[in-house]
Amino acid sequence: VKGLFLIRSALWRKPMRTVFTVASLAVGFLLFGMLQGVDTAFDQAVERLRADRLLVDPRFGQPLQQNDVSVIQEIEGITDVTWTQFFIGGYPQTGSTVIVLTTEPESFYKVRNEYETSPEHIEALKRTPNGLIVWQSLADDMGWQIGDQVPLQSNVPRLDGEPAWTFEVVGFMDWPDNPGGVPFTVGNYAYLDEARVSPKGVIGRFVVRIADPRQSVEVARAIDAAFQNSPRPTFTQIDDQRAQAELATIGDVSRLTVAVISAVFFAIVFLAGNVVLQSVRERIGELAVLKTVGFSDARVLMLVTSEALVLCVAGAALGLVGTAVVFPLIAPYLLQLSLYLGTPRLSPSVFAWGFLFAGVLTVLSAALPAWHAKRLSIVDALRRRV
Amino acid sequence: MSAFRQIGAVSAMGLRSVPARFGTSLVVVVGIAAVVAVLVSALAIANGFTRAAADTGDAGRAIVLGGSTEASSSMSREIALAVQDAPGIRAGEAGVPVASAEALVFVAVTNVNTGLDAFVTLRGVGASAFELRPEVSLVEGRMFERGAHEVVVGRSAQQRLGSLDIGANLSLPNGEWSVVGVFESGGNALQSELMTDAETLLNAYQRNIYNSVTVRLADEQGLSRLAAAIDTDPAITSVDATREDEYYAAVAAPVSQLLTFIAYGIGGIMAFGAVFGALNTMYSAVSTRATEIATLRAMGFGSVPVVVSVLVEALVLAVTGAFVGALVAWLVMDGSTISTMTGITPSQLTFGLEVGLDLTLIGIAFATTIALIGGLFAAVRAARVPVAAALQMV
Repeated sequence: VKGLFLIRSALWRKPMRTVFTVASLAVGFLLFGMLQGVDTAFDQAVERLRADRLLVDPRFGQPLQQNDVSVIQEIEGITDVTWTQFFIGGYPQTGSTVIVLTTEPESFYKVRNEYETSPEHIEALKRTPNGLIVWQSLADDMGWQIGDQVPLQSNVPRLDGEPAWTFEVVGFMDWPDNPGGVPFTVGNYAYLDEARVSPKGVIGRFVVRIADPRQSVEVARAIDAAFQNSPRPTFTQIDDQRAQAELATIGDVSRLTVAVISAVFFAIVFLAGNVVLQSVRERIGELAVLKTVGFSDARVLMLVTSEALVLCVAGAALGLVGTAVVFPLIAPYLLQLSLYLGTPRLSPSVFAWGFLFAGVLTVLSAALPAWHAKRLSIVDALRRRV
Repeated sequence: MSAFRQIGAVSAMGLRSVPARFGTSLVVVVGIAAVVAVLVSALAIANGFTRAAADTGDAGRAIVLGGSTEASSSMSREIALAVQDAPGIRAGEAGVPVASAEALVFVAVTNVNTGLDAFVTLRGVGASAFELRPEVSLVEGRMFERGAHEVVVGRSAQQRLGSLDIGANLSLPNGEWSVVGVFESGGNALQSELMTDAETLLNAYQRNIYNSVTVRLADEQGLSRLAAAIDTDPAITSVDATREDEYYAAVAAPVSQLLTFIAYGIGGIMAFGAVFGALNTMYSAVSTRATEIATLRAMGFGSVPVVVSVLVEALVLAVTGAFVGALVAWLVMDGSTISTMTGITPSQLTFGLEVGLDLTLIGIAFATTIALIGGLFAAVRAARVPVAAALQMV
């Protein structure tokens, strides 16, 4: 409590100076918040565009082999791999065509995490060889319930000679981001591959999720290189074509943000450091008195550091509150930068970074003055005063 | 003592005592240097972009499009051929029109410098493309051969990506294409692209659609004759002809304005913060000099010389800061290149930066504004120093 009183009186010794310093720091933090906010918004846009998915297709038409999945899994930067093979069937009762994307359910829903379904439905699909997870709107149109048997007519011949492929509805899924998409269903590739006459082990496409969306090109090239001299060369592309084009325009945003923030940081470290140093110089006598009455060197050091901390945290708080107010106002204009950026929202991480930045600023600006104050010799200081 | 001599004497006295207040004075210099360095650098980027876009267009050429931008435009082979036979286009050797039907594709490559993805525009061009664009010159290797899977790379694209040296490969849908040459085009937007033969490229993508036709106009009236032909010939009414310089200025304008806005926006916010720093320093200067000022006033000096001397000190510090800032910007930015979105195509435009006197002057204008605002309040306080009280403190 005594410490707080001392810090307050130190800061209010020259109220104008404290106010101007905090104002200056607040402007610095406002700029930091805005730039960091824009930068994060770009990162989030990249994230949203899901450039983290790659599609591996045959390069010259030779179909891909399902067991090549082991080759792809070995490639660095890949987190999950799944494979798909389309199966198209006619549903005689309504005369409509049903698209079945056959795959391996576990990896499929990991890679395609934008499709919403429940873990129970995925489990049911894994348990039921001829199971089918149906797009909700399709199920509504067809009147399908869980447990319904769905016979589909197809020109893919079965080993057992049966004319129809029968699936059993085991669950539903949705894709909230893409309400207008063509509805389809998801089935087991193993069921298709075991029951069909030929060709065995053949798939249409691998779908790959990668760790870092910004390195999609590198991973894509690594996949194609792995199959370059195989009988089945691949052509790997980023899932979303828009994302491809969009990534290209983002340019040097991050680099510029870092440069500006560095310049601002340098200037405010200098400003805050100088103010604290000036304040310590003016109070040499007072500090000597404190030491005389028994304040330890460490405590004097803490006192000066706390003074810097209050200045920096006050500046950071004001600047970041300013950011929270101003950012939503300029956000609509950021749309001009990129159509797919959307209207960015301020990420909470900006505030965390802001206060971390304030901590570093405190340490840097208080270092010299606090060290001065700690090393202060009582005798010299009091003699100088008189 | 005349008022002017008083001002001179008091200002000189103030400036001579600046070294004694070195630390606090340096705050203004450093603060303003940071503002000016950021402002000048950001303006250099905006100007460099605008210049590169403007240099790409030539008033003697026209671009014919079937959409608002070249990247989104498309036209069939029939239309592209018909456009090249339209009037208003200069005839080259053997009467062949100086025109190039072009197709753009965007190729994903890895930027070796950053390890991240990058996209470049690969422009398929017609046989007359280099007669059409005399600014393009091959500086290394050889020209691509029509029909072969070969490209030439613009110097800026090569520098930006670091991976497109002669002999390097590009992965396209029908296999690997190799880089056989490097070209320059005076630093304009083309220099950020790759070029190859349009027919070979369209084959590789199994496409039969061009993006644009660029033509060399026959004379001053060339464009109006071409535009009239497009309006009247039903085969080609779906396209539009624009003078090339106007096209590039128009497509670059939004990004150009945005970059300028960002430069002044960030510079302005920083300047606002620097004003508080300047206020601090100048108030501190006045309080340090309070006794000196009171003595001068007691000796009969007017308040105007005192006010002016505070402002002069602030201005000297600010202008010093402005030069330091401009110097930093010059050291970091001048002669270097940077890449940004274009608004022209999905790939980036790499352009050169220049920091010159014009930008330095803008920096100085900002600096003096900061100094005048910061200095004025302190100057008024200096003029109001209570003579008796200040002298008693001695």
